[in-house]
Amino acid sequence: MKKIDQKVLQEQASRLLFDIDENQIEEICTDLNDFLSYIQEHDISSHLEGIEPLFYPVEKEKRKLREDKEKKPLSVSRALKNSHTKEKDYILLPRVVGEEDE
Amino acid sequence: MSKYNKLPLTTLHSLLVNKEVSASQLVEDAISSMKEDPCFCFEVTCFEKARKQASKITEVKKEEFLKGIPFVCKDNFSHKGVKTTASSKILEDYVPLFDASVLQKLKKEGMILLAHTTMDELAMGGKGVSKNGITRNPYDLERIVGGSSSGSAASLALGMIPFALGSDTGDSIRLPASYTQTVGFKPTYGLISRYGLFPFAPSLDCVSYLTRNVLDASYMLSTLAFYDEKDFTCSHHKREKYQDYILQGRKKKRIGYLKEMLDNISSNTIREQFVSLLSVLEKRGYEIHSFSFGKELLENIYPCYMILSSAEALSNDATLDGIRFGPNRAKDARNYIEYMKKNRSIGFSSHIKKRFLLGSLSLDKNYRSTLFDYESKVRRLLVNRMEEFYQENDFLLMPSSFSAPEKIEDLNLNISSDRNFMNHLLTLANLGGYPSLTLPFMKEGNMPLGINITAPLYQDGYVFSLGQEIEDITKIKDCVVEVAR
Amino acid sequence: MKYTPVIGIEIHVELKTRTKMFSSAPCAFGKRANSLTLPFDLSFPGTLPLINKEAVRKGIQVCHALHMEIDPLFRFDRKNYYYPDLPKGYQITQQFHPIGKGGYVCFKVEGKEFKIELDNAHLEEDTAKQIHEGKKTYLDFNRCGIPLLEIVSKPVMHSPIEAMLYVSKIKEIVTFLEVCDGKMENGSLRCDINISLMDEKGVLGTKTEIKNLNTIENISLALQDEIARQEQILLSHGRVKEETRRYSEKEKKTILMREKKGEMDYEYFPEANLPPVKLSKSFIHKAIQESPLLVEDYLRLWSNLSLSDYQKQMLLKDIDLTKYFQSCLSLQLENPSLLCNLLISDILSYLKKKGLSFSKPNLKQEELVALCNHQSQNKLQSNQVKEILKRHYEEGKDILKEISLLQQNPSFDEEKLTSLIQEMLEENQRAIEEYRKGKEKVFSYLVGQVLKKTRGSVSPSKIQTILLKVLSKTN
Repeated sequence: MKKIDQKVLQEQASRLLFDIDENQIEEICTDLNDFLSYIQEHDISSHLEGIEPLFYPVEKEKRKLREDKEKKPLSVSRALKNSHTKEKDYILLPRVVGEEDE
Repeated sequence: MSKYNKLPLTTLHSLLVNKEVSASQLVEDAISSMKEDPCFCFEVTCFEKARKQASKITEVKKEEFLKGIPFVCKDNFSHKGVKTTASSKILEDYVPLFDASVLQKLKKEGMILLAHTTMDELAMGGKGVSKNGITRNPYDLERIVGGSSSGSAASLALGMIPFALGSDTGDSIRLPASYTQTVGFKPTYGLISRYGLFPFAPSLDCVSYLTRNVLDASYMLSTLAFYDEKDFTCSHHKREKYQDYILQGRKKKRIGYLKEMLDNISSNTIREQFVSLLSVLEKRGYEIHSFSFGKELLENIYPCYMILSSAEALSNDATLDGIRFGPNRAKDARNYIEYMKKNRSIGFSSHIKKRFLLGSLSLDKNYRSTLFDYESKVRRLLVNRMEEFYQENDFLLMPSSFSAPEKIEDLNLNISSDRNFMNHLLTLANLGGYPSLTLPFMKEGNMPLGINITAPLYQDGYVFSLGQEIEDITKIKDCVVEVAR
Repeated sequence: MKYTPVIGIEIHVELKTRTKMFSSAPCAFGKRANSLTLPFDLSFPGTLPLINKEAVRKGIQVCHALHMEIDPLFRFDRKNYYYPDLPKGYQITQQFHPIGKGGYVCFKVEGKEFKIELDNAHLEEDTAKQIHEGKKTYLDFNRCGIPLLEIVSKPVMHSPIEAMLYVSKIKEIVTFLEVCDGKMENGSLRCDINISLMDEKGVLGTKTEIKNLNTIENISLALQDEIARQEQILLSHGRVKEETRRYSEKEKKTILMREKKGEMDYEYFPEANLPPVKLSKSFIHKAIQESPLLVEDYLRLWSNLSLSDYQKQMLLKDIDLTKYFQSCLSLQLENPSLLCNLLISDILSYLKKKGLSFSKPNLKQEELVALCNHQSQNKLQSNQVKEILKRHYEEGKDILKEISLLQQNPSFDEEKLTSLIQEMLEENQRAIEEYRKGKEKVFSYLVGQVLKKTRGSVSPSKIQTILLKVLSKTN
């Protein structure tokens, strides 16, 4: 497994839309690399031949689909209540430069 | 110390039925014990709402088991009209428009919610570290109470209320229970509705809770385990009167323990006590088996959990950006990227960011096959091995922790330093969705240490019955502690 | 150097369900902004998705019409990316196990057969609407969560016409299945077109994506322009950049929207809040059985009705007209061709005039069939039928009443008709003089006057014959 460097982490963080403090990036990088080493040291790939991944803790269950019946929607004021940036009936953002309506 | 709320649910219920105490008195009793918060248990309180609710209760009938009884819930249950923040800055002013299904049910049953308890931020962590501080262990203020259901465990242990709601994704109710001499229960995945529980890792999250004793825990499951159509993962499995497993003495007899676990207990006292318990159980007619799980496999529990839960958490918390809810700290942002970035940079602690980065790496195309895809298969392997264990055994028994809780001054939030596989055995129950109960067992030094029972899917009732048996042996139950002044 | 266009198309079909894909908020258009949301659509913490059964049903119907293999184990995944119109920070879609796989679509144009192979069809949810104005972006979450069926073709089209016809065919299918209103201009049918040029050696060039096409015609126009643009770049030894472009109707060319910075990694993984659902054979079978008829089904049903290709084409242009006509067939209609002609000419023009449509034509099938049958049985003349329709649409008269009124009038034999004509001529002396002077047009006027008197119950040709006779006699 390739070791991660601080640059990669900063790029990832930027993609995930947050900044990491300069004084923390080194510690985070070291910790993550140590953890990845641990994983590599305890690799059990040889045991995974023919093993299917597990995504749902309970797989065999009867489940019902939802009937297509309307429920009363939130009023506009309630829908926008928790937002701090709004104008009339809309939630507001500073414009994305160069984007057209989609 | 409270006068009444330190008592178990069953006792409080009788007092209410017999009109020896009123709901309002119970609420005042709880409030007065909660006014001081030496361990930092509470994010937000809703005392006035509680008082109002209590004042409307004039009588409690015999069949209204929970009516008039105060409780607290972890700060990650959607509570209509009351600030719910998951102990994170990014949700600092979020006021939900709806109640979580379990809160709705408890309200319908007449239970009175008094406060939201502190937790590890966004439920990620096991040390009780939240945006405003660290929750302390009432048994030793210099030590952590564990997490992430930290405030729930501490306030219950302090006798403030008889019931505390929380959640368990890796061990978040069972570990704090172990550290506070209380009973912590995680049910079979899907028995209790997760609608309204702020998600951490949906394939692992379980609504869980703490009580004073095992009988109380069994009654609570009977109330909380209802089918909720709002949660697609909610099971259609038959719901039962779980207390009957105790009251009617329904038992299963085959108890297994992991050979690797026993071989690696470093503390002599813990090992001796555990072995001694096994021998008492044997005398009471239980079969005791040793099972060799495979050390290699056990050492993979922690990375499996960390990789999968970090990936899921990253995805679930992608919605936290200050646009539709949450404080806006980006008033001068020039575009949407700056806007979301500033809110998320300030809103998340560096520990959370680290978890997100791990999650992102896990799914990154350059690392995915050796991280997310690999660990998803490891999860299957671990669960397959547990199923093999359950072929020969009805229960997995082990100490819930193997050392005293960390001292706050030594607090280490590093992901990589926690390498002892023994500290992560409880997570097997989350990976497989199994019901798992931690109850008081012994003291290591002067710190509580619990014992844990895990069973196959839907065997929740039998878990309670064995728990009751152990309670009967240790005679440790209904424990409360006063903070040393 | 000759280049061959290689075109693949992703079509997003907005399904006409009452509620959204994963929440019970109503689906509607043109409503007040942010008035159609529930907590899930705004992604409030703790909300959970619930799969809309009707969306699944409609998805199955489309997959069947596209000859796809339907996966009975229904699973969803998360497509993770950050964008303001995506409140959860991920879209719930079906990356690993689409509901339909493979499949194809056939159509014939000017005798040439086209078979477009498909890759898959999968269900997902729509994003919110962003309105950009000045320095601000306004978010409206009404659209957020509406069910979408994405149909992905293989990159097997090689001309703008082929691409345009393919999208038309899909539009036709989803309209006839009544799962979507197919209106590109409303955004209920959207297509993203991927195009690259392949050189003579078979090497595929860089592909660009064209979005935001709001008419069928623009598909062909945009592709023509884009092919020319890419060709020009390649011929001058330039490099085609990976871009997303849109078509400007005003400037009649494709315009850059944004550059694509490499392949986006959406970090797909299964949606744990939606464990797999096994769709029963009976559920799938019932959905297919209950599928409305497609164009090919109607053509088969009408194969021995003696309708011309033109007539069938006209009927099938509008699904409401198709259904109206089909329902007339089950009412003992004697001459379908006759009824068809009435529908596609007279009635169509009245509907246009009155601002009606075939979904609400203000004309009961029973009434129209009665009218037609009377004509085919010679109980009414065609001009009488037209007159009745006129009275119905312009004067609000009841059709069946008008039929019986005309029927009550005695039939005019030659003697009666002659005397009526003579009566008319006496009333119109001046006109006769004009006619005698040679003004031929007056003859039609005189015929018209007789028609009035007979209340349209005699054929004009019969009147003409007898009028001529009378006029020549009275010379």
